[in-house]
Amino acid sequence: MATGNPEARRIIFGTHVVPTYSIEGEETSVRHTEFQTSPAGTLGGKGIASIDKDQWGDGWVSFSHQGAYWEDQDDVWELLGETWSGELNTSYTGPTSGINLTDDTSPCKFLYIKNIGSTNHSVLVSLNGGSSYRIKVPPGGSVNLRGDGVQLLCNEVCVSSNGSLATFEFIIAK
Amino acid sequence: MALTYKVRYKNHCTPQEQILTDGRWYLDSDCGRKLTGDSETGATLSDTGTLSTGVAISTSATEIVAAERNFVYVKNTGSIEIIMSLTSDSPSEYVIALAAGEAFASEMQTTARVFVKTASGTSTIEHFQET
Repeated sequence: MATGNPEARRIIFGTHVVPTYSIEGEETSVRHTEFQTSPAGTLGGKGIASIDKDQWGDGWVSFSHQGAYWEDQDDVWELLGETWSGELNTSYTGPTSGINLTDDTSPCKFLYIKNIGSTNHSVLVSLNGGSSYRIKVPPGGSVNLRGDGVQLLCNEVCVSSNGSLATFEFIIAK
Repeated sequence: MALTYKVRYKNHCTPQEQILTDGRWYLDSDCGRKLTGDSETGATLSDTGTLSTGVAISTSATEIVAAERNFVYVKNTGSIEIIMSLTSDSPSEYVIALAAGEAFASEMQTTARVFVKTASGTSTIEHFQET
């Protein structure tokens, strides 16, 4: 449930980056992969986002705990049928088209989006209400970020696709 | 000898809840799992990336990505929180926050421009970008 027992909620998050290059072996079907000369290793960081203990609705995560009870949900889920499977689909119908993950106007404190589609279509993410889509999430990839707490509102996060159909899961927390 | 440049990157998170004040943190019962995405850059990268370290950041905007880039990584290596924009230097576009030790990494649309600054004080960042 989005509200109830918790005294507090938080999200531990991290990022890990490995820049590489690969070169064909004598047998061209074999490739050898190494770190790029700079940074000659891996990059990354981690942090903790403190989020509200009472969230804006059950839809703050696009899926449910496997042990959650249907009757304990706060929202009327039959009216939110698009997230019934824990996934959302978005179709490309124009460069600035997309769907809002919520209409809640609270500051967004944490956002996570993963492209779980099997096609080659990337998920595109806008942080300014759909005016521009700058973040690109390839299949299998994800993005996470901590909102600044003032400017980024939950309803300003929009998701679109650079192909005909992309599927994604998300957390959007106030 | 065909060289191929890639960036493999992973963004992961663990939602947690605390049931008792000052008590133990548990996996959030709304989510029930940890989340991870693991991917290689989809775009064909043309060369090795560029790593910059110890870049000083102040309340004045620093543009770290002005040209076409396919992948961007930014880490706050200082002690003061920084804020980041992926579009312009407009105050309303600084929507991403990075506290000390936090990092952001993503493939980008090539139209993206990245600006970084602090709300007050000074900090440092490292950033890596590749085209």
